[in-house]
Amino acid sequence: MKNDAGAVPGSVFVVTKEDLGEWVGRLQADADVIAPHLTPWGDEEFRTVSDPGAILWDFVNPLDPPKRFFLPQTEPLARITRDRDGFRVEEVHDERPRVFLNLRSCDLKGLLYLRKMHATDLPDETFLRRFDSFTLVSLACSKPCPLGFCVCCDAGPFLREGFDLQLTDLGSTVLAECGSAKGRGLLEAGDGLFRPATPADVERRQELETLALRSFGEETCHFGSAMRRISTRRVDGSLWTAMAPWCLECGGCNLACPTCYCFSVKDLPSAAWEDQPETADDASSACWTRCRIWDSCQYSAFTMEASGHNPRDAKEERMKRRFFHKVSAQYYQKDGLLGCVGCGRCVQVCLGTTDMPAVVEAVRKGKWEGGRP
Amino acid sequence: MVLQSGGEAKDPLAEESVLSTCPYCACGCGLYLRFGSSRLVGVFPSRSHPLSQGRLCARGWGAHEADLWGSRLFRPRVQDSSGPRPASWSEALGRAAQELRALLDAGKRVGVLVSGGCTNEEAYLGARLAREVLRTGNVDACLGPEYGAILRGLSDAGASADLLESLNWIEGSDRIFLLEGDLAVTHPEVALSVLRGVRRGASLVTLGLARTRMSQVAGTHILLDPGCPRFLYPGPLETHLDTHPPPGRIAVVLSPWTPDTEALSASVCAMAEYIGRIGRALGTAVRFLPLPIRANTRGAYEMGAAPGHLPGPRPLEDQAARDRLRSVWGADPAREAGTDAREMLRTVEGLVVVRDGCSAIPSTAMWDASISPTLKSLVVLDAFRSPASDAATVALPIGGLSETDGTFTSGLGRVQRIRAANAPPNESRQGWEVLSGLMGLLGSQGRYSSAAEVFSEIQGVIPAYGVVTSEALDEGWGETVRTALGGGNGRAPEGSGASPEPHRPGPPPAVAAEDGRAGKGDGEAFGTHWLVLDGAFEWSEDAMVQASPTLRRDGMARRKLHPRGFVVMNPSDGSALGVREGWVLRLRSRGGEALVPVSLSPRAGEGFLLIPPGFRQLLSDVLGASAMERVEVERA
Repeated sequence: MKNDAGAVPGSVFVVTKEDLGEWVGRLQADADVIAPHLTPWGDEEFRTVSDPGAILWDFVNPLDPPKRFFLPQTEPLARITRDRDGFRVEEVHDERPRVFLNLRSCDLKGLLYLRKMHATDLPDETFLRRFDSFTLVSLACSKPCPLGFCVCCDAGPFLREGFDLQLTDLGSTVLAECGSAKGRGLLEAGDGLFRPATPADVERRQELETLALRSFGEETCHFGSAMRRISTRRVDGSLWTAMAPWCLECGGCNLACPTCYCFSVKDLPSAAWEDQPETADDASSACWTRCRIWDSCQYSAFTMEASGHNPRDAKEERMKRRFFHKVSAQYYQKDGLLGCVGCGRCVQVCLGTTDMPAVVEAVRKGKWEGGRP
Repeated sequence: MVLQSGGEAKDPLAEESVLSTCPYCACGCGLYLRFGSSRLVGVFPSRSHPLSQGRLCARGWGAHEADLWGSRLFRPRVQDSSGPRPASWSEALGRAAQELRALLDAGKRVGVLVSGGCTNEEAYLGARLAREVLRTGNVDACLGPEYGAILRGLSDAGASADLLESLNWIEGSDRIFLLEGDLAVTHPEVALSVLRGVRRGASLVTLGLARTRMSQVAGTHILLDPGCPRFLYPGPLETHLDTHPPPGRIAVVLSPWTPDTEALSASVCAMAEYIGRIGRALGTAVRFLPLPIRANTRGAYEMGAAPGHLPGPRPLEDQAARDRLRSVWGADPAREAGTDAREMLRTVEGLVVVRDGCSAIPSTAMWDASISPTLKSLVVLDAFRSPASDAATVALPIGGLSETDGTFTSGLGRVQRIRAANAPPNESRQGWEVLSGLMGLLGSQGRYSSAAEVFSEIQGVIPAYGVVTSEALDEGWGETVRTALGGGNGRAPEGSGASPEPHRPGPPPAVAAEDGRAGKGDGEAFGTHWLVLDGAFEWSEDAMVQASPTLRRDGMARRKLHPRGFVVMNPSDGSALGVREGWVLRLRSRGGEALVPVSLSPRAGEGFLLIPPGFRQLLSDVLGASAMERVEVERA
C-alpha cells in the first residue's frame, strides 16, 4: 500500500495471510502488540506477544476479557511516600503505545462502553490515558461463537464503527477496513504488504456478514422485551426471590464481563515486599502503592456502608440491581449503550444458572424454571 | 509517573500466566495465576479444566489476593528470652531440630500438625517426619478429622465401595440427598451440579441444621435432630423414603455439617445405611460423595497425616504397607496410633505445624484456648503471620500457594498440579524444602531436590498414586486416584443388584448404646432449644481469606457489626419469646450462661439457635467444647 493510496477512514485494503507476520513485526517496532494466543495448556488468552507466529487468527474468544489491559485486576493508581516532610503522592499513568490485535467485535464494543463510563461525569485520567494509547484492531466474526448473542446487543458479529481497524478473514487474505487515523497508521506501517480491496473482496466480506447473521438461529437473548418489562416495573419481586438461590455469588459474571467495572481501592505497602518489615500493616512502611482492584456488585459486602447498613443485603436485591443496570431502558438512555455485548462469557463462568440469557428469558416469560438447560 | 515507550524495559501489562489449582475448597478448580513485575496480580479460570470448565467461586476469583496482600513471614525467626528475633536458616533449622531432639530424648510427647492447605508433598513429609523421625503417631491435618468421620460413617454402613467419581453422576441422578452445612458456600462447584440435577428434574432432599440456599431449591428439607442418637432416626428421612420411593439412580452428597466428628460419623452412617438398603431393595444405583473441606484435605489424609493410619491410607498393621515404607524410609514407621489434632494441641510438648494458617483448629481464639500449657517447642512453617507463628519458638517462612510447587488431591480424587508462579519472597523457601532440611538435621535419610522428587517417592509408597504420570501432571489435569477408603471403587455395574420390587424399609437399625450419642438424648431433658454450630467450618476464619481484601469483607463487617457475636433464631421462636432483631437473649446451659444478641432468620429451624463458628468462643461458657448443647433461652 502506498501512503497516498487513500488509507483514510472508510477505505478498505487487503493483505495476504503470509504477510501478516511481517506486518505484526513492523507494528512491534513502535508498540507492544497484544493478541490472542494459546497457553501451553490449551486455553486461549490475550497477551503481549513476542512471536507474531503465535497469534491466533481463528479462535474461540478468550474467557478472560480484554478489559484487564485497560482496567488491570490489580492496578497501581498512585505511589504514596512518607518521609520527614510528610506524605507525597505521585500518580501513576501508563501511556505506552499498544496495539490490541484481533479483538472480537463484542469485546471492542465492551471497551467503548468502558471508555464512555470512565469519560463521563468525573473523567478517570488513569483509565483514559491508558485507553487512548491503544490502537484497537477488531477481527470480525464470520461465524457465531458457541455461547455468544452479540447480534441482540448491536455488538457484532461485524462492526460498523468504533474500531481503528476492522479485519475480516477472507480465506487466503485478510480484509482491513480503516476506521480512524490510528488505523491508518497501522496500514501505513504495512506499506507494501497491503493492496486496495477489489469489489470482489468487499462483496465477499458482505456475504460473510450476512451468513454470520443468519447463523445465530433462535439462540438469542431478545433484550427488547426484557428491557420493556424491567423498565416499566413489570417484573414481580417474587421472580428475583425465586432466582436468588440459583446464583452462588461467585461474581464471575461481573469479573468476566467486558463492560463491568466495579472496583475497590486498597493500599499495598511496597516495603512489605522488600527487605524491610515482616508485616504489610507495619506502621514504619514508608511507601505504598494505591491499587484499584476488581470487585463485584454481587458480593454482599460490596455495598456495605460504614454505618453497617447494607442497601442490598439480600441476594435478590443485588441480582435485581445488576440486571437493572444491564438491561433497563433508563440506563440505555443514559449511557447510549447497552451494558451487555453478548459475548457469552457470563454463560460460561456462571457458577449457578443465572447468566444473562437465562435471566432475560425469565424476565420475558415472567417465571423462573432453573435457568437454561 | 508516566510510563511511556522506553520508559520501562518491560510493559507492565505484559503479564505471565501459570496454570494452577484453586487453593481453597476440595472441588479442585483450575485457574491461571497471573503475575507481572514479579508480583501476583490476578487470576482467571481455565476453560479447559475438566471439572470447573471456566468457572470459579468468589474465593477462586480472589485466589491471588492472600499471597499479594497478606501479612507475610519473610525470614526465619527464633524466640529468645527477650522475644522473637530474626535468624539465619541454619540457626533456625538447627534450633528447631535441637528442641525436638531434646524432647524426644527426654521421652516427651511430640507431634506434627499439617493442614488441608498443604500440598501432598508437604503433608507426606509431615507424616514421614512424625512416623519415621519423631517416632510418633501424633500426626494429623487440620480439618482432617471431619473427613475421616465421613469416611468412617460410610465404612460403618458398608458403603465404602460405592463412591462417586464424577459430578456428572449427580447431574444425571433422579434423587439427590444432600447432607450439608451449607454446600453453596463450602463446595460451590458441587452445589452447581446439584442445581443442574434439580433443573434436569431430580428431586433434591436436603438434610442439615440450617435452612440453606440449597434447601430453598429442595423439594424436601429434613432438619437433623441432635436429640436422636443417630441424628436421623426415627426421623423424617424414613418417612420421606416410605412415601417417596426413589426411582432411577440416587446420588448422596455428604459434606461436613458439624465439627463434632461423632455426630458427623453417626449421621453419615445412618443415612448411607438406610438409603443404601433401599437402593438395593429397588435395584437402584446409589453413589456417595464424601466431601473434605479444604483443597487438599483428602490428599493430606491419604499422605498419612492422620493418627490412625499409614500413607495410603493403610491400617497401621498393614505389613505390606509397612514394608514399602521401610524400604523407602530405611526405618520402620512408628506403630502407635497417635492423637488427633485437637488432642495433640492439648497434650504434646513439642509440635511442628505446617501451614497452620489454613487450619480451623488453631484459629485465633482456639489457639489460645486449646494449646497445651506444657508446650515447650513450637516450630511453625507458614507463609503468613498467625497467632501460631507469633507464639512459635521457631518460625520458618515458606512460600504461599502461588509460590509453591506440588500437587493437590481433590475431593473427587483428582491429583493435579499447583505451580509456583513466583519464587517464595525474600528469604522464604518452599515448604517441602524446609521439611526436608529439618528431617535431615534430625537424622532422616530423606533428601529431596524438588517437589517432583517427593511426589515420586509418594508414588513408591502409595501404589494408587502410581497411575499419575508426569505427563498428566505437567501437560494435562492429572489423574484420578482411587484410594480414600482403601482402594478401588468396587462398584457393581449400574442396574445390577436386587431385582426391583416395591420396597418396604425395615425398621431403623437399633441404636447401639455404644454409639456415644446417648448424652444428647439425656440433654433433651434440659432446656428449650438446641444451641448448635452453624456448620463445621467457616471460611471467614480461614487465614488466607482473612489476608484477602475482597474475601475478608463479609467476616470483618460481621465482626464489626456484632462485636458480641449473635445467634440465629427462627422468627416464630422469636415471636414466641417476644424478641426482635438485635435484642439480647440470655442462654443458659448446664455449663454456664451468656448474654448474646439474636438475629431472626428462617435459616434456623424452630427450636434451634445457630452460632456462626467464628463466634463460638464468645459463647464458650454455654457451649463448652461441644458443637451442640441444650440451652434455656429467655429475653434478657
